Amino acid sequence: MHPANRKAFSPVMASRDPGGMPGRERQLSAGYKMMLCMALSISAFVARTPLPLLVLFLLNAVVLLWFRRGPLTLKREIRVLCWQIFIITGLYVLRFGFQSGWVPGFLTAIQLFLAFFPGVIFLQTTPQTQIVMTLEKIMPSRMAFVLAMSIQFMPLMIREIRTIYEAQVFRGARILPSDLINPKNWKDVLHCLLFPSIVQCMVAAHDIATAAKARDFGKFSKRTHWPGG
Amino acid sequence: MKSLFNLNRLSLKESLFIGFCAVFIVLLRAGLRLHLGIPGHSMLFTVFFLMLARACVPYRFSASFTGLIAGIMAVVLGLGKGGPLILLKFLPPAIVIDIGAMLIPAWHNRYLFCILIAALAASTKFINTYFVDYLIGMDPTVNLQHAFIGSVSGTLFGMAGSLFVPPIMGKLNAHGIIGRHFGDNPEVRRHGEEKT
Repeated sequence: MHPANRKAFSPVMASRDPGGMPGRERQLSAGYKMMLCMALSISAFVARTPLPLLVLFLLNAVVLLWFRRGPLTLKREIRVLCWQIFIITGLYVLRFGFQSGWVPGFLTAIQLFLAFFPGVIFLQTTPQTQIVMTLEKIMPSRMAFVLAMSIQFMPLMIREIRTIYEAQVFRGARILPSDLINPKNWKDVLHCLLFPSIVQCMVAAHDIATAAKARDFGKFSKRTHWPGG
Repeated sequence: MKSLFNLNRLSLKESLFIGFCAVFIVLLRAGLRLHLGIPGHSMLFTVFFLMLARACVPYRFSASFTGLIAGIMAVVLGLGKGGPLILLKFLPPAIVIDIGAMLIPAWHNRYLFCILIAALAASTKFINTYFVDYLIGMDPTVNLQHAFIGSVSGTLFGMAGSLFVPPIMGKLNAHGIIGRHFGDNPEVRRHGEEKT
């Protein structure tokens, strides 16, 4: 993905692929990172007592520091953890009472978080290009191409939809967030935003397919890359 | 088996359209961050775009393909709660939509069929939540309650999302847009389409 496009997309995507510390990413390939994080994730389903959970928590922290390529933002993950602890511990307390319910509830919430957190580590510390190249090795080339193109053209689609949205607002469509409080205006979203966006998707799909065919896509069973053969 | 899942039956532009539907699912699910504070609200767009992909692309597993792409994309981009288990959020409803579409050929023109298929598809959230919580070792009663809360609201949102499908499909068909974009694959023929 072009760096300019990446910046244009969103801060969420930009934060997944920080540009700093290029030397560290050579420590481990994306495939090995993926396997290690999956192993950590699976381990969370096995660890059910406080001590193994603590060890796993520390292991996650070590892996996070090892893979780290720049500043990380874990605000969203911490918010998920807090919300999960609140919901699950609450349900356990309702079921078993406070005395015997809060400890198992808390441990289950932590366990659930540790099952998901390695995935977050992997994604926050691995560039998207490396992930896509790894996926190309493990899935059919057509699917990998579609996946790569969808990710690559995501910023373009967002720009197109934003353009449609702004044009429709100028035309008087009632699709501003304040208008959507009234359910009567929801049909404007359907007709003025959703429908043109879907048509725009079809046009983009047609254009990309034509461009790919012009470059002999599908002629060889193994997809070739430029540069790099 | 190979011919059953043969991706070559999909033209490249159909595959790419499916990819874009998956992009919309992922973006609207987590990118736009609908902070409604209601569990299951993401089913609104998930079910809508899965059904749209199945209705527009005449391939019997197009919803499953969309779900798979969306799941992998969510894993790749780190949206949602992350981890490989996020695939479970997209695949089961997609498979149900494909099965529903196989059983009811003209489903996308009728609100009732859309709601029915969407309800069944969105209710798979119960299985997904229950399975993950079961693997964690959660107490069965708490697990049932946890899965039930998520699946009921998910089903309602999924049914609401399916209500967008008939008008969109009606409009796309009325303007001949689907035929213009996806009408050049001789191997497959849309339901009700005459042979030429």
